[in-house]
This record gives sequence, structure tokens and C-alpha cells, in this order.
Amino acid sequence: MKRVIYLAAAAACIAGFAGTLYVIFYKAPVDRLLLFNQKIFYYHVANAFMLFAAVITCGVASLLYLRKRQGRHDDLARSAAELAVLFGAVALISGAIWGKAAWDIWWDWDARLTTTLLLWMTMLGYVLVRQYGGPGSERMAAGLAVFATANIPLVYFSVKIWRTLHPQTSVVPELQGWMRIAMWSSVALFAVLYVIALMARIRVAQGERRLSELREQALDAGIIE
Amino acid sequence: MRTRIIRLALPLIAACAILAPLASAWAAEPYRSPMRQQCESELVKDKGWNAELRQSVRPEVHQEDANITMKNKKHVVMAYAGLWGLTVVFVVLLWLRQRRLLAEMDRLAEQIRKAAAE
Repeated sequence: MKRVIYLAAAAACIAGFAGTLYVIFYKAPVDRLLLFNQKIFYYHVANAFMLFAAVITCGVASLLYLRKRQGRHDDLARSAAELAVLFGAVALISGAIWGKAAWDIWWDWDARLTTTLLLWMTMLGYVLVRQYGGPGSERMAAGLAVFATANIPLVYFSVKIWRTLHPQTSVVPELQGWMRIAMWSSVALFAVLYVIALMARIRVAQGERRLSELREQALDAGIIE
Repeated sequence: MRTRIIRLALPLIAACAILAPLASAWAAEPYRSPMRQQCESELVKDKGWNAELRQSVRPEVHQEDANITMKNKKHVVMAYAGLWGLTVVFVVLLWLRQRRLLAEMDRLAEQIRKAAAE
């Protein structure tokens, strides 16, 4: 049954990708100022939203783990952290390409860009700590995730607090017509992708937990050394 | 004395009035490079250079460049390719990881079962 759900969701994602690309490239009008380059915006913003969603999921699950010490919360936090790294990488790379097209520079130490990079590096730190930290690293990483979650308002409001090259937060609510549809359908698509990937990653985390239990049993039975 | 000055000055002014347009016409004559002949003979010999020069002065070339700047598909393609590439790599890695994990779990469970039976 689960397999059918996964396959259906994957098919919905493929159809969603085709649909959003059609809306973005054939229906949404070309922006007057940024021209064709503005097409990068739809997936870039959707990925940035998913970065926030993944970091918040990781932070909340980490808080729950620190409080209750239940493995399922740790599995959720670890899975969301990897997805935060993925969505963050996509948002940063597509943002750099946008910067080259719109401002003729790949990178600028602008407040929004820098705070996003810091957030992404914190999440990368979480993943590395979990990967190489050994026993007890889950608690250290959970603290890191809570810190990263607290950084999100700073990233979001950085365009209001400082003078930045990056567009303001008012751009998305002001979109009209097909541009609005393209934007929100892209966000919906990446939200579905996020949920599917998170579920799949949680299964892997549960498998890893089960495997370590089996190893302990095998050690006790003297099957492995 | 005054008449003498006027007599000298008047022809001078008249001469200047006549010569000034001539001088400016002479000065405004377009510059002809002494290298022109050499370039022309080189262009006759170098057909590739000749074609490139002809291509660069075609007005349509400028229009094409303007269209490229207006649409600039390169960056959009780069952004979408990067995005799809990273997502696909992540999904494939996740799938491989899950397969490896399941195989390892099956192997260990089998070993434990066998050990328990013995």
C-alpha cells in the first residue's frame, strides 16, 4: 500500500513538474524589468520556502527530541536536515545564477545572501556532526538545529532590516494573474516533493536504527565481531 | 595714421573671411589612414577576416545580440539544470542508500536466524 502511495506521489510530482514548467514558460508573462531571467524566480523562491520548512521541521523535532529523547523525533530531525541542505543548495545556486543574470555578479555579501548562506552552513554542520560525530552527536546536533531555526526570522526580515540588492518580501504577494499561479503552483509542487522525500528519508533513518539494533543482537550472539 | 591702419586691416579681414571657410573645409576632410591600402590588400588575402568583418557590421547581428540579451536563456537553463540535477542526485542517492540498507538488514537477520536455529 505504501509503495502505491509513493508511486502515485512520484507520478503526481512528475506531472506537477511538467505542469509548472508549462505555466512558467508558456503562460506567465515575461517580466518588464528582468525579462526572461525572471523565470528563475518561481523555482528559486519555492526552494527557499522549502529550506525554511525543512529547517523549522528539524528544529521542532530536535526540541522534541531534547525533551523526550524518542528516536522517532531524531529520525524526523535528521531527515529534515538533509532536505534543508538540498533545498538550501538549490536556492543558493539558482540565486547565484539569478544574480549573474540580473546584477552581473555571481555573489554579493548582501544581508539576505549572507544570512541564507549561514543558515545553509549551519544545516550542513548538523549533517556532518550526525555523520561523523559518533555516539552522543544527536544531542549536539539538536542544539545546532534549534539555533538554525532561531536564525530563520533574521534571514526572512534581512531585506527589511538592511539595505540589500535582493528583492523585497513584498514581491510574492504582489504577483498577479499567471505569475501568481506559476508561483504558488511551484510552491505546492515543491511542498509535495518535500513531504515525499521526507517520508522516504525517514524510512531510511528507521532502517538505520533497525540495522544498528540487529548489529547489537548479532554482536550479543557472537555472529559478528 | 588711423586711415593707414584701416587700410591694412581691411584687406586682412577680407582675406581671413575668404580663407576661413576654405581652411575649415580642408581641416574637416576625413582622415585617410596610410594603412588603408595595406589593410585592403590583407583583407583580399585573408578571406576569414574579411568574412568576420562583414558579419560584424551586418545590422542583423546587433539585432540578434539584442534579442539574446532580452531573452538570455543561458542563465535560466543553467538554473533549471542545476535544480533538476541536484534533486535527481539526491533521490538516486537516497534510493541506493535504502537498497544497501535493506540488503544489509536481510543479511544480518538471516545470520541471526541461522545462529538461533543452531
